[in-house]
Amino acid sequence: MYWLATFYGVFNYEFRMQFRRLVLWITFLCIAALLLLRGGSRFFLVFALNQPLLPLVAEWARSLNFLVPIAAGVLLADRLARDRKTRVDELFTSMPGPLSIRLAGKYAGCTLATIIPIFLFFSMGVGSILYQTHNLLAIPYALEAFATISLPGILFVSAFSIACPFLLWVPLYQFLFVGYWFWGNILSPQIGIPTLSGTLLTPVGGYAASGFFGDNEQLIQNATAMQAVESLSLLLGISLLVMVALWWLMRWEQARQ
Amino acid sequence: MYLDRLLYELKLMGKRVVLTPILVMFGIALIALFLEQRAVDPSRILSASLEIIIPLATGIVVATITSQDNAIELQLTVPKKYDRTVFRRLIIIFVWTACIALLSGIIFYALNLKFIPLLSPSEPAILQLLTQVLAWLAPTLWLIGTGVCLALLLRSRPASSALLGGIWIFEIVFKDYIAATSWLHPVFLFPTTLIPLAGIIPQNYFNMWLTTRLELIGTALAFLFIGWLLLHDPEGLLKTSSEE
Amino acid sequence: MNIEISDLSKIYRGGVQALHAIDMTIPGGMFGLLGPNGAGKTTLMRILAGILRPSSGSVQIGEYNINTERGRISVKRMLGYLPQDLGMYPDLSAREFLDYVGILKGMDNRRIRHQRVEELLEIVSLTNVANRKLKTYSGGMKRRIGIAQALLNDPKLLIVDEPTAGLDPEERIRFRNLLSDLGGERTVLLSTHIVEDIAQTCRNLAIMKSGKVVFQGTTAELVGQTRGKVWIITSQGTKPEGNFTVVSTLNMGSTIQYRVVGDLPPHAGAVAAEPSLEDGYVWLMREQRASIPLIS
Repeated sequence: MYWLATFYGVFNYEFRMQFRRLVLWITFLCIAALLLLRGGSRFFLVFALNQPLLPLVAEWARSLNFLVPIAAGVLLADRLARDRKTRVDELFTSMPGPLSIRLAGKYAGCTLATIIPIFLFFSMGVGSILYQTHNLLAIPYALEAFATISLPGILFVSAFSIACPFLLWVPLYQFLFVGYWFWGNILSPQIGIPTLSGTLLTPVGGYAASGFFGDNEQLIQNATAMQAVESLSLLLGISLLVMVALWWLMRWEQARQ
Repeated sequence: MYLDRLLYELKLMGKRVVLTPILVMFGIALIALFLEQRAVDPSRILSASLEIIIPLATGIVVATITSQDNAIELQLTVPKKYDRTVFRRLIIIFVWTACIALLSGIIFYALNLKFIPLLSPSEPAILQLLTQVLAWLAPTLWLIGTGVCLALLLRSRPASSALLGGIWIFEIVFKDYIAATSWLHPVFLFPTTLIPLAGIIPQNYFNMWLTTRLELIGTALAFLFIGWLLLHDPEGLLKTSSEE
Repeated sequence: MNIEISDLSKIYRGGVQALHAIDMTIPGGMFGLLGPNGAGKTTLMRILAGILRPSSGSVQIGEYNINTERGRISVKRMLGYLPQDLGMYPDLSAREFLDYVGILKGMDNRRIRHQRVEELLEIVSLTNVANRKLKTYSGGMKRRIGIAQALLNDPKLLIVDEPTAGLDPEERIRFRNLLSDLGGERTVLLSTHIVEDIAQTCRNLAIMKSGKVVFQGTTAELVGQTRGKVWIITSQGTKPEGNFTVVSTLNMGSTIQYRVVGDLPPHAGAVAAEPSLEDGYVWLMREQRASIPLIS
């Protein structure tokens, strides 16, 4: 019970700290504006209804995933550094709650707070689809698409963004992260540079979109549902491993002091 | 005294400012050599390094340096004006980055690693060199100007870096849309690498390319001017990023 | 050099009014500024230091009017300023930081500047660690560097906010004495929560509360107002209750001695005591809470 109380306390604190950041909302508003500007099939959320509902919703979720995880990753990168800067890490260390539970609370709290503006923007698109198609099935499809296409990628990115700045200078991580996003999700393997693009490890959601919803993109086409499950499992498993590695590193550092 | 001050400004910004462009170019050189070994033409990655990667690194460094000054209260009480101090820092970062970019260009050339051509081979070498310089100079200045504005408006390192990253990826992912939309041409950051032309380069493409480079520099200067105005707002500068 | 403040108000963006039509005269020498948190002391000092611009009213420092850009620059040339929370550049050593601040303060002659830096390092007893990076310094050492940077340009006007916070008792006494010495030939504005620092160094002081000046005068005048209102109550253990404020509690073993400030003798056994500046401050704040205007 005490562990649960610690988890809830840290979760609540981290959630509020992140959720109340004005810059979080401004950043996602600007990213949303960028996405609204793009042309093609959904200029200003007016969707071209030239495909069935399921892939349409999936494509909307996947197209968000090109840009919004960058903002999520960069905005989450300063969470550990902030604890050190404001010296609350010393305070937390002196408390009896175990480090693992505190880390879990931190991860869950600030990730959830970061997901909310993304989900709101996603819902705006879903609302527009609903308005255009008058088909209520868009709502369950959208929830399913968000949970399988967007969420695993954001959870994956969040784990790295919380953990890596423990070892790296935050702006350096942010630069490397943006570079990684391009290299590991957008860069075509045909260019000749070894890349994670198109592999099961890509968090942009292509496998889930193709395997579950039949929405094919340039790099990932005709994936099976099994491949989508494998991709999701890999992404979530690696996120967990990264957080465990962070816990282990922090414990090791505390033991050295 | 002038040199003393420059050295102090460089030192107080930290080694990271000096090392960032060097490490980026070193990494790119390794990738280019690796591609050469695999008989893959490295010209695109080389052009990308200067046109796409270095400007992003510089933009994030500038946003980081500008969004927070540890001794801001002290800086605002000295006779030397703070806006000039910040611009001095920006010039140091820009000149250092430009030196590394130029030097890398020369080294790549010496290693027989070629960039994406912008002019026909018959054009004079000096013109070839100037266009190659303009290819990275314009986006670098633009991302510096944008970085300064975002950092001073948001007073937050992560938010300004996130937006720079968002713009950067947007430019790459939606390159075809930007290229096809004329009103977006003044913010078309990376045409050299993203829309490379093979064979003979048509004059109208070069004219479009040159116009957008000059427009980029123009908007960069406008952003820097806005940044300069924002530096005259002591209340804004003193506002600590408590919400970070 | 006198500072004349008239009808000075400051309203921050967002509508928070930090200063309400302040009138104050700060004569040469040491001048103390007291007040609870949020009283507007830091805002006032930032305006005097040329950092913030007043919303209305005027400030004349010597011959300069800080409402103008030229006036602010002139004041900055003769100013030494130590903010409450002085940020530093962690990658610079103490010597480099002082040299850099010297450059910013317009000390163009490198030889003179270096000489001055060494003098100040000596004064703040940091010469032997001057090449260490500031990120390795303790809070007290950073405070001493802060004091050194404020004195670099031999300022005619010195504004210091909590200069002795974080210093050990010996250092605190040394700096109080240093400030007193400096106050002999310049204007030193000392803002602090430590009443003892003002009692030991300043003849004149002002007390601020909620953006207003609630007292201005000499320390003796403030103490004088409290005469006959300070009492000592000796108790066997139970805390005395009544219409008074407990200033201090001294455990004497079998009894406890309470020093209280109140209008009337709280107990039959209460003994009148000679007031201190701290008693005067507590009395004034008590009166303010009761909304009785008390401006000397």
